Amino acid sequence: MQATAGESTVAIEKHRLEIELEELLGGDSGLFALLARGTIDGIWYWDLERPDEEWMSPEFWELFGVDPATKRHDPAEWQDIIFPEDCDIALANFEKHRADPSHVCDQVVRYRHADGSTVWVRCRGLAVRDEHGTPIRMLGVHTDLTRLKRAEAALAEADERLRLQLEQSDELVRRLDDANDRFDLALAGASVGIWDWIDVNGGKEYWSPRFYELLGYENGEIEASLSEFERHLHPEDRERTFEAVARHFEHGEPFDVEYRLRTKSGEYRWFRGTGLAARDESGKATRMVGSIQDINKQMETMQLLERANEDLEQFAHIAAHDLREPARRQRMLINFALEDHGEVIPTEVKRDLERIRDQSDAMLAMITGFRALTGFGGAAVQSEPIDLGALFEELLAEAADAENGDVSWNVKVSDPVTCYPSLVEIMARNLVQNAIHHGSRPLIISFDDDSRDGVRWFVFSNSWDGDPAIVTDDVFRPFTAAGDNGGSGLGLSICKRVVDHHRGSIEVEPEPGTFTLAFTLGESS
Amino acid sequence: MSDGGSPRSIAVVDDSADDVEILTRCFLRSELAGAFEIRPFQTGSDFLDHMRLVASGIEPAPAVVLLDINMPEMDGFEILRSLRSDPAFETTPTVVFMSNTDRLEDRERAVALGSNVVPKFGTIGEGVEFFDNLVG
Repeated sequence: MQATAGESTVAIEKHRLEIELEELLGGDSGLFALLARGTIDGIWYWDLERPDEEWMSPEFWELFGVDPATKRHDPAEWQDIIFPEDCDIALANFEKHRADPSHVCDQVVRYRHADGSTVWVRCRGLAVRDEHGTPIRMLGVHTDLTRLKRAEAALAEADERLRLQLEQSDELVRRLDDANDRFDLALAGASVGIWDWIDVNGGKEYWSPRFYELLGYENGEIEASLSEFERHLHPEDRERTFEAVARHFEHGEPFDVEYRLRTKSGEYRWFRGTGLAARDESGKATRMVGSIQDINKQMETMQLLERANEDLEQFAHIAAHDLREPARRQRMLINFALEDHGEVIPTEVKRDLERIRDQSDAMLAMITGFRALTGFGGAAVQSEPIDLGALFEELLAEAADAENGDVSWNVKVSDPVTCYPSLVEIMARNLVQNAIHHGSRPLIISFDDDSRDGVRWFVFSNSWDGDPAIVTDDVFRPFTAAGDNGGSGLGLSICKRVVDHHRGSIEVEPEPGTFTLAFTLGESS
Repeated sequence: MSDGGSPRSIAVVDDSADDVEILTRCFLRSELAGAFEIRPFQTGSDFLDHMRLVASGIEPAPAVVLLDINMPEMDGFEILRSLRSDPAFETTPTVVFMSNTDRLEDRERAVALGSNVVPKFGTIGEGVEFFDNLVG
């Protein structure tokens, strides 16, 4: 540890082991410097005869971010910063090599850098032996593997990420396959064909195999395009179909249209077409995907039903007319007989004629009710606001006239109600007639409205001496209330039919002394 | 209301003799009795034949035509259409009788053909009132 005079202007005393090592390398300080600073990342030279002395080059310490000037040439210094488990490995290798020159002392160990990071070092050592083969020195070099190790770690991490992504991809592919299988099964079972208008500015489309099949074609037999679709679309359905597309594009209205497409055989079949547009950031439609579903059978059934209903309606109309007219004529002729010859007709005959006339009246009322009950469906009616209170006032006044004034009433409904006027008038007449036929005398009638849970209810009541216990919802069934009181047995059935037509509710609320019927007129009110 | 001393006619086109009888008896109780006469036609063809004579000036024009709708061979609508097709009878007053079981669209059709629509009489009073108000 003596400084050689004049060797350096810097007053750094060379360690004896450093000097010895230089000499060992033939005294060529240039070669030594090249080895020490140029090609390797640290040299150590350990005196095994004095094991507490080990020279370590400045690069040795600089690799660990340590100022060499702060360190002693003592093995305890490096043993202080090497990872303990790696230190054990290094010392064990060293001992084996010391005992057996054929055992290579070469290991990768970790040191703790001054900034806390890990420094990976390849540490190789070689024993210098005396003429007896006894190790007296140990010369070693460090090679920094940190960047390599970090690259290895990054590679391993990338490998792991890749592995995970592959696993996820496999899972996604598997799930996609499952979904595709399910989708294909669903499409095959539901008679649905898929179309994809890939660019709404162009005419190119995708049609699923099922789409082709529904039109009677082999997959891909004709071009999947807007022009082909248009060519197969029934001319009468073209305008409304494309109008629906335009409304969907411009206003976002659902695209759900029934149209006819010509199949390969030339016949037109009904399909339900639905679709949804994909839009860009500005909301403009760019693509549209949808489906067609074969609804030919349903449409045919519906058309048959409509025709059957029309036939039934026609039959009901003719039947009502043909039944009504004889009864009306009979009634009129009896009236003429009674009026023109009443004075000469024997009392008993006169009474019989009056009874026949009453029966005619009952039959007329029943036919009128029957027609009202069956004739709503085709009626051209339009919803509009009416003064329901005024309507009831008018009908009650008419009824009071017919009853020779034996009726009193109180109408409190004043706000207009939006409804189907012609139907509501039929109901109002029936309610009034129901009160006339079933109400107790003196007949007192009230018509009011109130709000129940935010819904406007109309409440019609009349004096009544019936038994509330026997009144059930059956009163709304036809002919339930028919009796000898002149009613047709259809009045309340007609009222319910009118309320149903308005999607409203109707219920009876019988109490001792009063029969009340409450109803709503649904959404239209 | 009379033309040269002979009463003007009220044409009634109805296949039902009973209905014609009822109409006539109501008419005879009304204020029109004496000033007018009922001229019944059992079929549309008979009536249109008569109107051709009217168009030729052979027969006087009826003051008003009362029509039933439901008739065999030619119904009231067809009769109305034929009548209106002759410009001479475009404005001839017509009344179509309908029962209250008839369809709303039928009423609208009759009105569209330039006819009034009146319910068939339910009482003698209604019938008499109808004729009392028929000619203003």
